Amino acid sequence: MSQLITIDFQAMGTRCALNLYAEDETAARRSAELIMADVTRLEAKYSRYLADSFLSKINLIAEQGGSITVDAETATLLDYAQTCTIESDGLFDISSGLLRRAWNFQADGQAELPDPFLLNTLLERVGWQHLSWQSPCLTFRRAGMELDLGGIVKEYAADRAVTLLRELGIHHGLVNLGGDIAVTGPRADGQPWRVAIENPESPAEPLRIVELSNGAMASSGSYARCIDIDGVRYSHLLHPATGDPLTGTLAATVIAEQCVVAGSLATIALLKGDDGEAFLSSTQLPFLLLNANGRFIDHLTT
Amino acid sequence: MQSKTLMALTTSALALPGVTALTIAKADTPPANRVLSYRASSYQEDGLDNDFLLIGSADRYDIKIHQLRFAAPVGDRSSFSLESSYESMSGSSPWYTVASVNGDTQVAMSGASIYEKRRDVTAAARRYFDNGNLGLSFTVSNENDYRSNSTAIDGSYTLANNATTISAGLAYSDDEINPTDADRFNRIRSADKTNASAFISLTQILNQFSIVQSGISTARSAGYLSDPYKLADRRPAERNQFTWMTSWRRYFRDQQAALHADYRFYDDDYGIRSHTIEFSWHKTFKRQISLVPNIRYYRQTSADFFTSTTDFAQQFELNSSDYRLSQYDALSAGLRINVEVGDYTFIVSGERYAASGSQSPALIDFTRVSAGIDYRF
Repeated sequence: MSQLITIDFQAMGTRCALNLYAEDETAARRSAELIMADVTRLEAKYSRYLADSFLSKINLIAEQGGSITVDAETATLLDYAQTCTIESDGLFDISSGLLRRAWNFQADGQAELPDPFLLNTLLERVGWQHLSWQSPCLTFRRAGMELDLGGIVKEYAADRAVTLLRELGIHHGLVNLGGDIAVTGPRADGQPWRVAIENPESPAEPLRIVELSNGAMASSGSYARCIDIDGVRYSHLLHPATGDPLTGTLAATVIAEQCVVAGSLATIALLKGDDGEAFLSSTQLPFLLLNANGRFIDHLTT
Repeated sequence: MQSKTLMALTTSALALPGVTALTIAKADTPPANRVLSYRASSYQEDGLDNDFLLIGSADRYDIKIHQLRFAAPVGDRSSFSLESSYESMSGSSPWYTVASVNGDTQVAMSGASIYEKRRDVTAAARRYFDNGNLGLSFTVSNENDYRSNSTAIDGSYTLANNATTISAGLAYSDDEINPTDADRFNRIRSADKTNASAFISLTQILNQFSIVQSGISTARSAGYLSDPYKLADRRPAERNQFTWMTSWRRYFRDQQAALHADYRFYDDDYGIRSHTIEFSWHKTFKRQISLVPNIRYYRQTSADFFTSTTDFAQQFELNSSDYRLSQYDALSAGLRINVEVGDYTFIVSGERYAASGSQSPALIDFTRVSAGIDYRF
């Protein structure tokens, strides 16, 4: 009879866990090692913080302006990012991370309005339209740009982990990369996994328990930490065209077949502000959303 | 119905390596590696049943094929490939059929074993654009009694929704036949024929698990279409063919496998109409090993001018006893195994084919086995 083995690890700047049903612990640990190696590989390749990552290499070119030829994996990630940009009418933009430099967010969620001159300088260097993406060649038509794949890679890693588990013959497993969840199937007894969405107000009592037998779940924003400016609550995301923090939708959780899709839909919902709920409803996927009035829209059970 | 956004994101996510085991070939990306491939195949027809043998050798064709292929990306947006094959063929083939004394049909086989060689070379190039690709290829094929030059052009275009791909192509070949022993057997000395064909197809990703493809093609052959090695074989100087095919691919996540189901309808103005149904199961183990069993059923009607016994007296009427123009059913089953080890892929495959029908005793059963290796660098 297979047993549930839980393996915790730290990667991509967050807490990760694998819950696997396996015949013996050695097999489970071996599978976990392969997944950890893949997650670590992706972190080393796409981290914005590691100077020798491939993303840092891209960003060196982005800083100067110019072209770089990327490998097949990066190319499909850029294709995916482009699809997100198109589908969100330009709101989802992997070059918008720069704008954070204009804002001085405090730990208590308070922020001051940014220096308009600095914000304008940064805005000129933000925008997918300033890139020319002709796979496998990426050209930065403006200097001083920067890309951030942070909103895609962790979810992508979770999807890969699930594919890898299935290929290793583990059909009852759950991958959790810092809240990005993907499962290979239900628990060994056929029951769904019960995943808790934490309640920021009282961590002991989860906000919601989600039952997951297949597919994935990802969230964007935070049900706990929002930014407060003059009493208005904003999400952590910034509008790529104006640099303004976004309000309307503060956090969203989406269940989809692929974790990467769930994650980007949740992010686009935040970027859509007041239209976030209508946007997620149109996908007909289960979702949970926190709007600016502090109200939860719960469509997790459909 | 899924929303357009969900569809677009899902399609794009499925192209990410490792997000699913079901890979969708993108129309706009050239191959990443150079690939050198070699295949050796053996095609062996079962001998003719002695009960049906009138004269000649009961041994039928035995063909050995060697294929070498090299493909490489050229710059960021193009690829090139060169392929060559060499076939050596021995055995004999049906010459004519007659009604025996007891009413059965008997087959006269070509007497001495034929020994022939065929060589061909194909050069192809493909250019990749943002949403599609365009390819061009040239083939030259040579036998001691047959020469063929062909050209083909084809392209694919993926629509903005990223889920629909339209493909189309045109091909043309110009062939020349110079039968051996023409004077001795009163065969035609030299003859020409041409083939022109066109196809269009549509591939649609239905959801993360299913892809459906449907297409039609039409072909027109003109010139000397008879078989000079068969006695009193006279076929129309023109043949118009129409084909409709539909295939469906469904990925089963729990099984780590995909089912491919294909149907093909064919109709021509010889009077042949056929249906083909094929199923294959693509099962992957631990990423490196894939097993593909398949089964295919084929059924066709006979050509209007097919005759089970060769009519020697006919000088002008259309007439052919070629078993391929008779009414028959065929069933084949095969298995292919691919094993990937680092930069190498080893491939072995086997197929067994059996045809049955009441009109011709010359119908074939055959066995094909093949082994090969791909090297990526």
